[in-house]
Amino acid sequence: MTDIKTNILQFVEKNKISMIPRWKFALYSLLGITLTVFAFVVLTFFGSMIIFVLSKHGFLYLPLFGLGGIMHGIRAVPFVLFILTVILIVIVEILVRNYAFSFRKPVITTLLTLTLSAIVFSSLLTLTPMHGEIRRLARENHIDFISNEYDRPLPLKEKGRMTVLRGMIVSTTTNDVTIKLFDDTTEVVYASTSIKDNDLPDKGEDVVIYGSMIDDKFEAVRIRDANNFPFAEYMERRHERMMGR
Amino acid sequence: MDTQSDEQIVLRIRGGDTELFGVLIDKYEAKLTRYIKRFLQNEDDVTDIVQNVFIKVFVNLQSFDVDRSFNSWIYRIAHNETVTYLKKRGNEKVSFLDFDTVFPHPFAKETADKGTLDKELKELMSSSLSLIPLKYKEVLVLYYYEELSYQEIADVLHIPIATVGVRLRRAREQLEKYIKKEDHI
Repeated sequence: MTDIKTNILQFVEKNKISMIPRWKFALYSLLGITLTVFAFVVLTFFGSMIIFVLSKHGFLYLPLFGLGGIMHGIRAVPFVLFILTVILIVIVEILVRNYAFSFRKPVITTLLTLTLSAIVFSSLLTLTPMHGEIRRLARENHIDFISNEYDRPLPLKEKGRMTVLRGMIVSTTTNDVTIKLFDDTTEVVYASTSIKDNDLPDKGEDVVIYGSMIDDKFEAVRIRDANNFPFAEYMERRHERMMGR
Repeated sequence: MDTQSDEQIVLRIRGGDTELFGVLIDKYEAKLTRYIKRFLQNEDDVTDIVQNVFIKVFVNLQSFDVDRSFNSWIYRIAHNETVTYLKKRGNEKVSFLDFDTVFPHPFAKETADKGTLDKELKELMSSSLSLIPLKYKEVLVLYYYEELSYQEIADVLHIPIATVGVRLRRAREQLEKYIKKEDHI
């Protein structure tokens, strides 16, 4: 008998090692699945919140204003939520690997699958009025730590930085328009020389304005009808659902 | 006893016939020792790892799915123990990004006379194995020395079958490169 065999059989005989009972494995699996599902639900919640916040403030339209818009869009991502989402993806990945209930794939495959699933499910979640309702209830009941997350001022008004505003035109003059944003605040927007007079929007129009803060005034470089973008109809329907209208 | 499969023995051990675990140790001790020795030189370390593998096998025996191959399962545990040891020792990098897995090129299974190929390769490999990265070394060892099938290697390493083929091909290419270099010297 080899040393290893003798040792192991002695360990077994003296109960120094024993088999983990089956129910424990079942319990671990159940716990693992529950944790994974919970983490995935939280993950999609944060993911959809990011999409909601970006859409509400008009940032989802930024890529349509060219490379500058894309760069600004990246800067506008709510990084706390984004980092939380990435951490959650990693947690779900670790859970999936530790409590693998199917054939385990390489890290990169599961990470990609998880990220794609999170994006798809988050996008689907934004089609529901859930975030609009949560925001409304939080504001009505003065639950600031929640409503602030929805209305947290994004880098909208940093001087000199190109950004985007989305909202409804509430008044117009010959030189400027007043836009009501989705956090119910208003902003006076001046048209830069690059905008022709007849391109200024009319009262009641839902617009996306690309420009920057110059001397405490928002100067628009481009103004576009929110309903006149590619997929505008779809975006509008989604937006209305998000706002619980 | 010999007519019983490993999976049947496992079922009997689970049922309380724990002494039968000795049969599994008899069957796998030499194999696992040989396998782990391909990655480690220190005899004591190899013995410790083999013992740990059997302890883990026994402790986790209830989690083993008897519809799957016990052979792959025990090699999987041996592989994990070896990689963990190598990582602790810090002389092997284990990459999370494996391009062979993400972009597995089409591959062809062995078409040459496997017996001849094996014999030649085994001789060449024994001298050059330490020169190639772990991820290529492990597929070579499992395929040529342990004679596991593609499916079994995929199960042991938890990689898709296509990746097994890609890694084998790349491993052979790397070996070839080193052998040519040595020939020039």
